[in-house]
Amino acid sequence: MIKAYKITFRIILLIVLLSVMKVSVWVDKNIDCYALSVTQSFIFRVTRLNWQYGFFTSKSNNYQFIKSDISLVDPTNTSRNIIIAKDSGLDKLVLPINAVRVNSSIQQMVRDTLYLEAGSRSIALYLFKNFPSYRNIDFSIQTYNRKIKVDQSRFKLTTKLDTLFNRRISY
Amino acid sequence: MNSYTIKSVLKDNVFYNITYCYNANQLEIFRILVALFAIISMYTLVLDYDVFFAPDGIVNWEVSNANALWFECHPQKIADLLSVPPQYVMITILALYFAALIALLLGIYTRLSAIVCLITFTLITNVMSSFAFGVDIYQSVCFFFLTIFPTGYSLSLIKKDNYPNLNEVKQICIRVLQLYLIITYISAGFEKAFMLNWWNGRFIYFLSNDPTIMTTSFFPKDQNSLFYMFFGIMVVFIESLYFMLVWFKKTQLYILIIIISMHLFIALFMDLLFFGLLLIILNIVCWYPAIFTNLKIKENDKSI
Repeated sequence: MIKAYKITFRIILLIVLLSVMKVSVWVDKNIDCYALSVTQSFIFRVTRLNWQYGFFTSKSNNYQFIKSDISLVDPTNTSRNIIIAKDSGLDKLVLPINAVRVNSSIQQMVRDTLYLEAGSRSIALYLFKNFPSYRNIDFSIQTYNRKIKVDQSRFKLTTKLDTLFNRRISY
Repeated sequence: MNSYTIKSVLKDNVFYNITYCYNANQLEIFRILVALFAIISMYTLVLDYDVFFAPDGIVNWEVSNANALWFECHPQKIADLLSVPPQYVMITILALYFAALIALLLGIYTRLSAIVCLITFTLITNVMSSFAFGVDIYQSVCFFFLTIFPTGYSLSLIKKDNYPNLNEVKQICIRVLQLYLIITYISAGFEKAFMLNWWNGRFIYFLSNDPTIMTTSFFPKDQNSLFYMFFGIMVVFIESLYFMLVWFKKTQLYILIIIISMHLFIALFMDLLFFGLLLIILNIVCWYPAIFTNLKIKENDKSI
């Protein structure tokens, strides 16, 4: 029985070693995907986002959250426009119980430049497939940069809105 | 409580008294609850198959495959290798996963079922890597435990034959599970303790004002900063001291009620239903024998 635990321990060590190997440099060198390659040359600048993400590191007084607006657009007949996501993720496309996964995924995509272009293109392809009569999708992603202040033993929030990504994907 | 007592309790219970917090069927209950949980959570995902699993879902396989490292097997790689349509591969993986889960639930070839569950679940999470979060990591760890723990000796359709050391091995396995849970809380608690904003209440204030995190309003707005500070410090203390309080008979029941309430809060107000549920299951599985014993003692002890 002791041998079995030794083997298990070695397997755990191997898993840890393999996890350590997951470095972004390696991924960058081995990209084999058009969408991700495009992303690398994308103008979007990560510095704008400042991934010292206030909420998660919780070390700063700044805090930001991301909102995405996604709409199916018909420029010739605006009454046909459908809002897929407004101030949130893609809740309407999935069960409410799974919405949190989709929402956090959108947030991750926006936080990660590698995903932004590929992610929006993926979402577009999915929407074009499910709504075949539409040819345009508008993506707009904003960050709400918030600062916290203390005002007589109460917290106050100031909000500054930045648009990060604003584009139309056409089919 | 003086340091001598703390030391002796930890020494006696954690490392020597291996039968403490142990029940003969505990591992089997762990197996059944994890399998049941996995069936329900995957069923809800399969209802949104087109979004999560289809090769042209919201995040295409092209993206998730590129994101997978060379040692991470993506269904696209299998499809390319076998020259079959990718959707057939995905449906086969899901069918295998459900079949293995049902076998695990019923106790049919438990170790083999657990191995199949672990492999297929890893493949599934590689497809939906961008949608994965904490609960998937906990779930794959649970499957990993099920591949090495002996879980098919009772509460199973096909029972394995007992062997002399079985009870001892099971006790070690339960202790591993308990220590795993404790380590996750220690790391989470200490990480929070190093963040000033957990101590001064700002984190809880942030949390209550971020609609992407708090999907249901729970904390009242515009309270005194002490109000938010109290909750922040409470979370730090609960998670950091869990590893110790859970061993003491006097505090065990209370810390478990608090931690389960915390996960219930996460499940209901932060929309992380499955995350909250799995952590509640793990807590119950790890400590239910001791809780039942405690409750029985209290019932019989008229002097209290």
